[in-house]
Amino acid sequence: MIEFHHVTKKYDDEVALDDCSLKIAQGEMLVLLGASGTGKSTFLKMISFEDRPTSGEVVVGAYRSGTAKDAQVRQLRRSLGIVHQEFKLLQDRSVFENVALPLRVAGLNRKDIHARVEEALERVEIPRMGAKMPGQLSGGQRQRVAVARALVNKPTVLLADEPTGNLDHEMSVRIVRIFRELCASGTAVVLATYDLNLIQPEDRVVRLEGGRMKEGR
Amino acid sequence: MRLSFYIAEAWRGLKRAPGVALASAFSLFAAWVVLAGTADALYNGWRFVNAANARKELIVLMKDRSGAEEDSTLGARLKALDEVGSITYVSRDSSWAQLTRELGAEPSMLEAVGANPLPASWRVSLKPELRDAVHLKRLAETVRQYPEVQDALTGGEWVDKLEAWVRKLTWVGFGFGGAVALGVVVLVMLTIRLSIMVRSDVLRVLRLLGAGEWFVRMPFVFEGLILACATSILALVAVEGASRLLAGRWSDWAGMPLGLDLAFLALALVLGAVGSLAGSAAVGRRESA
Ligand SMILES: Nc1ncnc2c1ncn2[C@@H]1O[C@H](COP(=O)(O)OP(=O)(O)O)[C@@H](O)[C@H]1O
Ligand SMILES: [Mg+2]
Repeated sequence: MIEFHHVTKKYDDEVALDDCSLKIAQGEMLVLLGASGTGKSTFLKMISFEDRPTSGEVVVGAYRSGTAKDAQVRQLRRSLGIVHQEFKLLQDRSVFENVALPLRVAGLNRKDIHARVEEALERVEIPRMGAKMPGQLSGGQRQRVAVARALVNKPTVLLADEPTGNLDHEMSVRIVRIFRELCASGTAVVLATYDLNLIQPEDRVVRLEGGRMKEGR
Repeated sequence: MRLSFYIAEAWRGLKRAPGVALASAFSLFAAWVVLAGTADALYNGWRFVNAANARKELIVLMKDRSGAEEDSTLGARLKALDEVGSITYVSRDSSWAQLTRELGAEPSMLEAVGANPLPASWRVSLKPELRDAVHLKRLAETVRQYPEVQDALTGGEWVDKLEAWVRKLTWVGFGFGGAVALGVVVLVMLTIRLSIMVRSDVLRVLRLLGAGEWFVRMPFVFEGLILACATSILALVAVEGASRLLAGRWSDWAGMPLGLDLAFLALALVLGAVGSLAGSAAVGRRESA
């Protein structure tokens, strides 16, 4: 599903990722563990083609970082779900419209959009919140809306960048549980976090230190 | 289906920076008022010229001392010409009567002059669709060749001068209108550029969701269309209102016909579309850094 082949990413002289190679299978959950500044966000951006490797190649499904053109990048992104570290909710529209956005991009009809958004909001345990504006929600509720937006289009890959950043432990565990359910239905999940408490024994964990990978915790 | 999303999105864009939207709307309104006002003034200029042309006639003077028979033969000949609509006979006596009436003179003046010096004449008006200076002059030249005709007077030179003047004004109006139209396009374009900057967060999200170029662009196109459409309708209502008010006081003035109103609105839509397409040209193209 996802393959990194000797991926190195430099920003000027700063090495954000250093010779990373790995494979992530369909339905697999990978936890990227590391302190701030160790390259977690950069790793996820390689998968969404927000940035391309300085050297090496990333392959996601049928798309290769070395060759993918704009049109293919768009196609790829429509099959992803992203809970971005700073990919905030849009303040100018309701929760419903925020979650519906990926479906509008995909061109679904009104009825299907309605059903899918309701389903996604139920899944993250904030049903009947659709009419609220993001500003009216608590931090935890907002984060769950962001998760709902990421899973509403039934992605084949879900990327979550510190999605539990400002949540209490109980809420964090509940959100990660949703990710585990997605995995069970075939989605590959890459979860970036610094929170050791979210990891379970059966999880595959990759540690990042200064952009270098170390498998295992 | 997507149409309602684009319009909702455009509306959100306008609400996002209401100050910019209002300033832009106000400037657009002013520009449309100038454009529609110019069109209305020119329309009325031409309307006046056409009405004056329609009143223009050819006065065909018979040779002195022509007889009634000659007069009616010529009448039949004139009537048979293609350009001619209607003709009216003015006898020598009625010419004299009219002259004295206009001069306010006594009937006794005839005695002083001795005999009526005026010739009989035919007043010829052209068919309505041919009433202009060119046709009238051509007819006058034809008729002057006839042996029983002394002269053919076209008269109304002032109408020709007015027409030339209004024609010149029309060209000036087109040039001026073109400049205003260009200004409108630039204004819409700049408004859309600002709107794109203001909504960078939305654009970033749409990029990450894999939205296509036109999906990203259409809301901005609609934003320009909504602005142009709303302000041009308001301006047209204002100009037509003022025009009707003027028409109520001055019978030579009239509001613009529906066709011209619709043409103006269509032009406004086209200018809005061009401006917003130009303003959004760069948006939604590049997907990755
Ligand atoms: N766009 C960028 N420009 C320059 N340097 C960057 C950029 N993105 C990340 N970096 C650098 O790359 C390193 C890894 O960053 P990041 O992937 O965001 O780490 P993390 O998400 O683990 O905190 C950091 O040193 C950061 O300063
Ligand atoms: Mg990060």
